[in-house]
Amino acid sequence: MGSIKLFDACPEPAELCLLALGAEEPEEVPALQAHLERCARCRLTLAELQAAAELVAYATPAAVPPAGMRERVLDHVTRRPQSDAAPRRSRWSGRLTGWMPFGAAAAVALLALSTGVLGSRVQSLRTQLARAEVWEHVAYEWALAAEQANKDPRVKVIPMANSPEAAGSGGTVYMVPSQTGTRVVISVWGLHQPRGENVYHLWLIRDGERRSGGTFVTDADGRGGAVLNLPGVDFQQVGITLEPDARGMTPRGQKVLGASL
Amino acid sequence: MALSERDLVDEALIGRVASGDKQALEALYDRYERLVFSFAHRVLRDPHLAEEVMQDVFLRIWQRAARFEGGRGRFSSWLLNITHNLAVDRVRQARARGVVLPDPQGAPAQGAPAADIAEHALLAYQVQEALAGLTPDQREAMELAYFQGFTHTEIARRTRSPVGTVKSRLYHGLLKLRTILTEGKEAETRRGKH
Repeated sequence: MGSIKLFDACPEPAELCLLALGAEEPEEVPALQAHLERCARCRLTLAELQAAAELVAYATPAAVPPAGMRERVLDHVTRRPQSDAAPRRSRWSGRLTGWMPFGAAAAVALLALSTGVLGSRVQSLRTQLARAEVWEHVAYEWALAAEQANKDPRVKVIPMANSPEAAGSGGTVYMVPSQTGTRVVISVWGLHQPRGENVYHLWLIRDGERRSGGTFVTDADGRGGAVLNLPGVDFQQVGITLEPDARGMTPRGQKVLGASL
Repeated sequence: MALSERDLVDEALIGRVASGDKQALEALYDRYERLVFSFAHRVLRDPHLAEEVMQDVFLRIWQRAARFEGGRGRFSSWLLNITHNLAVDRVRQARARGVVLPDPQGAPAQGAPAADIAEHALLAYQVQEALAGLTPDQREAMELAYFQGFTHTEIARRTRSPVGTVKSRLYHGLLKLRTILTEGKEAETRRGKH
């Protein structure tokens, strides 16, 4: 066996390339990993090389899975207990996205005003975390709806049209039949993150009359959404407006997105 | 790191899996079954072994979902990394036992790519073209390293080349792949602006 390398200094990029491809000698991996623990620059280089290596995976020719593989794999997996129950760090601490029931945004705003500077900061973080948790829920429901749309012809998928004032934005309405009625999942993109008390308000429209479907905010990337579980679909259109606050029961602001069902 | 819509949804799903949500696991499985199975099959060249790797991959996802840290990378990268490691481990174990796996069929990328999801299909074809732009030595080295699990010294012995030459082929091959794809994306962006 050759001498074991120590990587006090940064290894050559070609060494990191071997690690990215899985072609490094096994006995040299621990020293490389120990260096990577200490060196952010090398971690970045490795990440870039790994990203390039992964691309090759996307070009592999399609292979036909054996019949019944899905059921066998999922049955095998879900029979096992989950382990590694370490609490998961949320990466959503900086995202201000989510759907807030009408009035909740106002309640949060009032609470923030009633405390001191530190209290406001703590409340802001709590709000961000709460919104992040709501967004996770929305994104999850949206993913499920998209998957169901691929398999179930009863799922309706309706694209939303933007108004000229919201050029570049868009959205999709998924109408998913459920045991209790219909789950309506709305995902939007390209909408500017509202400032201050501004919120986006979802309206359910029947014969010209508008009913509130709740409010939400978008994140810095312009993404947001809402999930409604309804006993039935008694509206013909949906619309989203940008409102000065979440307290209105009729639209006061500019329409940004809409769809006819 | 810029995340796509798909990345965000993946993150939401894996978060649910960490909480024990089997439906979320099924959703992730359905999103990635074709890509992961095809990748495993490409490495192992046997559908039954590839299915075993599928079980191992998704068992690992199920049991270690709480370890996934979105801030450190995409879920798809984590998934493909796990798949590659497990598949290559199987290849190496088979080789150590003297088991012969079927020969790979021609060049590393032939036929319709597994990534048939719209947002990946274009990338898949671009990667196939980029791989075709490597030299034969670079492609051979990548095939032996990435798909057949050989270390660089093993590749040097098989190809009767110096170790340094093999390292260089792998490194420059990977860089070339990245450059071709980066230039392709930039060209697309420029075309899109006109």
